[in-house]
Amino acid sequence: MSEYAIQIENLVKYFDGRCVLDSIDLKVPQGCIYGLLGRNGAGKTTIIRILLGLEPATRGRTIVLGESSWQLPVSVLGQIGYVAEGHNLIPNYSVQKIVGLYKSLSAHWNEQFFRRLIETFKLPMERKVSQLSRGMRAQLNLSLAMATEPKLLILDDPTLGLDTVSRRQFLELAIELISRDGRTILFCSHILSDVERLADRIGILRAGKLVVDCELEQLKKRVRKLRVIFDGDLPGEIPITEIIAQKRQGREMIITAANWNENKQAILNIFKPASCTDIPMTLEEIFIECTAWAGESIADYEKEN
Amino acid sequence: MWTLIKREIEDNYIFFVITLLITLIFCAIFAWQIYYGNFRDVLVLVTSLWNVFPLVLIFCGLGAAQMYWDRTKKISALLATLPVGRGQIFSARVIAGFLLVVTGMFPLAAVTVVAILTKPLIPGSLVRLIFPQAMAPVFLLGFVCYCVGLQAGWTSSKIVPTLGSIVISVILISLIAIKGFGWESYLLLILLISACLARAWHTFSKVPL
Amino acid sequence: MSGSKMINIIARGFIVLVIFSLILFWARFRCWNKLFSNIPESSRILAIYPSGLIPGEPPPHFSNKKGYTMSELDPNEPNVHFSQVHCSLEPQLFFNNAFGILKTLSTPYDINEKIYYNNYLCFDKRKGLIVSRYKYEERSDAGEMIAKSIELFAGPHGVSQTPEPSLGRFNDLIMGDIQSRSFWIYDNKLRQFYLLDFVERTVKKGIQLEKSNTRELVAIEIINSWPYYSGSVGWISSVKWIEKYKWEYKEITVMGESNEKWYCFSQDMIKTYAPAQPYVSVLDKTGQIYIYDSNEESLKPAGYLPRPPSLFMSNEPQSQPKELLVYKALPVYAILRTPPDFNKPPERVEVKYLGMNVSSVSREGTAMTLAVFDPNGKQIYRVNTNINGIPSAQAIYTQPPGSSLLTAIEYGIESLQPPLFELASYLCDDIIKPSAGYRSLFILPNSFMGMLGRAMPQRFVEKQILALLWMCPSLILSVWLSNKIRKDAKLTGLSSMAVKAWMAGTIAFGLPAYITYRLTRYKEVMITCRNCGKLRRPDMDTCHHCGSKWDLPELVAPNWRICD
Repeated sequence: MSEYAIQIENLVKYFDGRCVLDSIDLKVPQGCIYGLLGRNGAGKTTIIRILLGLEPATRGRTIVLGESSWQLPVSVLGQIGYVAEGHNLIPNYSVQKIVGLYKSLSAHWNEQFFRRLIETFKLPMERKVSQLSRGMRAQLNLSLAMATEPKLLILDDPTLGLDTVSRRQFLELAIELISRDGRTILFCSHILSDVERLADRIGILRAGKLVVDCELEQLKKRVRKLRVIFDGDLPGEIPITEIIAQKRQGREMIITAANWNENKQAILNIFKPASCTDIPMTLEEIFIECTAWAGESIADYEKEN
Repeated sequence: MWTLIKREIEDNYIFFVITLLITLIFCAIFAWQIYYGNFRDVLVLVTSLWNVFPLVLIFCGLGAAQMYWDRTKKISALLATLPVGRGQIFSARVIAGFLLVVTGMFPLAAVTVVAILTKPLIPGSLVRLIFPQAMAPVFLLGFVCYCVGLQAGWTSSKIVPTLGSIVISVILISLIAIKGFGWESYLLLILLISACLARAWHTFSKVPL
Repeated sequence: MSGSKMINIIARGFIVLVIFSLILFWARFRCWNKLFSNIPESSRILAIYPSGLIPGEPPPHFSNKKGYTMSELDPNEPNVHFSQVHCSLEPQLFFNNAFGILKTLSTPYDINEKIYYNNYLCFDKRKGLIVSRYKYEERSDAGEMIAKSIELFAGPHGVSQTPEPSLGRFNDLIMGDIQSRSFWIYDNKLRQFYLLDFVERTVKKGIQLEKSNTRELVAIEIINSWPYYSGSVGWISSVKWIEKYKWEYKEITVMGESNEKWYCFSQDMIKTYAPAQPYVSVLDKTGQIYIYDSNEESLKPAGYLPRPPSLFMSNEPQSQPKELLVYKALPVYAILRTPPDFNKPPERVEVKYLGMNVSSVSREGTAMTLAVFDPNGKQIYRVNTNINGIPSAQAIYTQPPGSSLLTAIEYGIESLQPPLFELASYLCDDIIKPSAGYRSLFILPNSFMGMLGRAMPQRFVEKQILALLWMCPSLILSVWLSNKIRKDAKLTGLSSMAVKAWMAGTIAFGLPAYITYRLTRYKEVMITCRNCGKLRRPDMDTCHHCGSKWDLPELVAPNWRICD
């Protein structure tokens, strides 16, 4: 058995001539909780669909639990649980019928666990899926995915549509699941506080490329945001590489840089800043810095409108 | 596998109901003609394809509907994430289509054969004629039209599968009128079924769900 | 190219080919139907009046007037004085041959099985016995007529009500158009004639023929036509008309002694008046017709199947049965009855063979020939269908109004056929039966190429050159389409082997191959190559034009500058 649950090598995907994934290399070790982040349209769902064999890759290789993802054998599919974005379930089926379908097709089914989930979420079994609210569909989807006790759980924005209480319940369930041995989770979410609580590793997609792929703690260490104040005018371009973002205002410069090290500090010191203070960043702030386009500012938008 | 087949039949039960109704009407007409008509009327009835045309359209409609609803309701996208291969999903679909064709043709064949056997002075050769020579190509034709529907349905448009399937089915029905009943028809229809299924499978296995 | 892609292409190609062929079939059908219907009625009738077979009548003479049939009596001519023979070529002949499903209505099983309403007669191949089932009426002891049915089994050694092994076994049987319960059959394997009589329940052996290739018989009481429709090849020998709508026999005044009255009959009528007549007409596979005389146990030449002219002329007078669409041979007999009153049972019947009329229709159905043979098998008269004096096989395409345009359209449709199939039609003239010619979808024996393939066997070089010229439009179209594919395939990144395969396939299969290519070609949006600027496929690692990879460090500008 490979040490990696998921291996992506040089993955390229084009849609109608537009490159949405550009040479993605990614490895998710067994037992890891991997948070895949990115803005809307970054390609997260596309990667997941390619991993599940729902979409063919244009180029590159994707391997899930040791098998090529485009031709996943039934035995491997039985070890994967999936919650799709939008919670795609057959709309005209009743909850009971969907559950029956999952039960009969799944390789493994934990009825007790499933019942517990259904009672927790208080899902009506007789109602049709199309008549459920978005949140209830999310809960049903989660319950179905988790009841199969998969080795690899892939969640595409699982808490979308859930209220705060339900989200908390999901998190607790997820933690419970994580505590069982050997589970690997790959999930995408826009609620970064949840990701920060759960994830071991983080991946961030931007412009079709994987710009971040490391452990969460490492990410926080390697991305530094500095407020640098100069006595005089701000110097011209400071030759520090891997600058993620830079803001200048008066005599103050705020630099966000990746892989900060002594060399970069030394280069900055050449320009004799009056002060240089570290601004701690949450995952959300790191994410915004990494994915905001150059010149994009919420403040500017509000001014214009 | 049985779950998938059951699911296909339950989802498309309306086609089975309509087919059964039409078949029962034709069975009644067949039986009446065989008992009270003369031998030549029996031959005309058996060889006339007018009775097959509505059934053939239904078979075609099922194939198109299965694929169309799959695409719009993303059924295969859901099933493919369960421990079910695309091959199994496709096979279950085709088996459901086959069962529909059997539902339409088997009662007709059974009633015809039983009625003929009980009618005096009809030679055994006529039974040999009706079943393998006449009924088998018609059965195969029904299945071909179902397979044509499978291909035509994989589009997000409603008009294209409907009209396209009807036109192609009409053209294919003329194949039996031209070739008659016999090994030529068998061969062509079996090859057509193989080609249509290979083509439908190729599309289904390669297309994003 | 992967295996699954190849299977997909072949599958799609086959579907396209079948649908394309079906559409072409209907287009050709429309053209041919119109061409046939355009032949004027006078050009479709052949009549010989007098027939030349009845002693005492003037010599035979051609007439293209419609024969006096039951439904077409001329009120101004109540009496027909001489015997005549006529046949007519009807468009329905073509129509019925174009639809195989209509065959089911006429001959349910095969030519050895005749099924009649309420009665049937068939050859059970498994048992090797002829089975006859029929109804009859029997007077009971109380004097009432009771309907009964009976089933009889006949083998070489007798007739029985049960299929006993002692009856023996027939093998490869040839049976005629059986109209009564007493008839002749021929077993090809035993080379033996048998006379079966289901009324007397007897089987009588006739002569056994010596083993010879040319003597392989193919038919008895020769008729290969469509029994369930009227107005196709028909033959009527109309004799003296006694009462309106009633055809009877003709007295022959110059035969026999002065106190004897001989009457002539065609084969159709003779069974009614002389069911035990000793003659049977048989046909062998070379087209030679014989009269089998069961009294003398001899087989005498009686004529042959005449070869109708074809589009590409042929001088051979005789045709083989497999080369004709329809043929019919009807002998004429003279009967001496004592007493001559036909309403009384005969005390003595003597039958003489007077000669034979044979008509045949060409394989394409465009020409018909009628020939008359004397009792010794010598041809005494022969006539072909023609339009304005030109043989109909050629004139049908040009003479009637609108035919030239229809012919051009027909030729155009045939040119759309795949060149490979055209070539096969040219080469494989014998593979497809004549009656199946109009039903063919792929190989077309009745197309112009098919006709050319059967013609001019002596002029080999001339024939090949003509065939090549005839195929020019089809070949030009295929080559042009193949070139289009070559250009497009290069743009879409197909390998050179795949391009060559597609080109070869298009040259062989023409338009269907091109359509298949268009349906299966790569359809995704292509990306501009950074190296050569042409469109390249995103699913390939290298550009199929210039071979460059996606990652081109040499095209990435460095992040340093040295400028003023």
